[in-house]
Amino acid sequence: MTDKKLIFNGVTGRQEEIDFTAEEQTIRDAKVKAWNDDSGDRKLADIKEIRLQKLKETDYYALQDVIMSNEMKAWRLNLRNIPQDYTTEEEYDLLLARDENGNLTHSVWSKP
Amino acid sequence: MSSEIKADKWSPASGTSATIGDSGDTFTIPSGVTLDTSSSTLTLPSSAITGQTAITSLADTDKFLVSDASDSGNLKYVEKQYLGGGGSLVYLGGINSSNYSASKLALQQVFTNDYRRYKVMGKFQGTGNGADVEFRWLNSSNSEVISNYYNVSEGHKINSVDYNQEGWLDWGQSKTRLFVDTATGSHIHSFSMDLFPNQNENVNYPTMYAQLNYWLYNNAANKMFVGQLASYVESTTSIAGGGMQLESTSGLFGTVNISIWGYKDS
Repeated sequence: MTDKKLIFNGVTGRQEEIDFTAEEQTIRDAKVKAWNDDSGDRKLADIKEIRLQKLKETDYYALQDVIMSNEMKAWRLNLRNIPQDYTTEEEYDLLLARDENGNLTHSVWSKP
Repeated sequence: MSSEIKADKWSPASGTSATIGDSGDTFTIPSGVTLDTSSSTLTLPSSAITGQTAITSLADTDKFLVSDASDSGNLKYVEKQYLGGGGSLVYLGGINSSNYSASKLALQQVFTNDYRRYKVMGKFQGTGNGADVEFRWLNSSNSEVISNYYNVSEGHKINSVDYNQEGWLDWGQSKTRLFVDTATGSHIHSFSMDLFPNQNENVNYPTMYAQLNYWLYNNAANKMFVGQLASYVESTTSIAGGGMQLESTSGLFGTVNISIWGYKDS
């Protein structure tokens, strides 16, 4: 399928919709392929962002005058191990799954 | 002439008001006659302005009536060329569409010698879930500038449960990632940007500053992003006569409304 671009040209003063040239389409197809190929990396970046948020929320347990339970230590360790424990895009999708209210559903996110 | 009235003073026959003539009559004051109302109150009809022919542009020598505060309020005129007033924005054109048909939006050949700075405002829907929207400059042949973009962005991601502040650098890139991880559906992404095609007129370095407000896909968490972005291109190649372009990394632009204005200094 040929992509299109919507243009306004300041010289003609007109709006037009025109097809990509063959050269533009080749570049576009390569870009879209690269974007799709990079999907797993983008999902992992999102997972790491969620993980960072979860770890920050429980950092105070590591203060000297607060006792961190073994369950909390294990949960935080599991979060840190996500990149090595989950490696496929299918697993990333499960980690990013949310219910109808927008809450993450994977058990790894459930704080003890 | 049937008769001529010669009197030194007209006064009402009774009371304090009188009428000259009837509807449809015309009284002419000939050339050379002075009708001096300088010490009286002169009431003009409301059609004195609206009854005239309208013009849609002003010449530098068009005149406005003013009361000169530095000369006892005497009436004088000032020409349009002396009004100043901080310049204006001149609408150049734009794109309006609801076709969901294009993966690129381009304002081509909009930079002219008439303006040194430009304002672009717009909004759009669509593209693919999680897609980025990339900004690039176009040269006068409508070719994309595809190297040496230096970008800095910062802002906040917000929804009802999370609030994150973030910023990033994209150094030496082939584009500016203007919108990152956009949501689709009914979500509207909006922006306002200032363009400086020749930031330093000796070496060009086109520069853009944008304020952004858009919805993040965020893996269906749908957060709002509010932030700003600055970008410059380390290039000594002039883009005079060129323009700018937005490109989605996946999906098509939906409802689009983008306009560009030139800044007129005075």
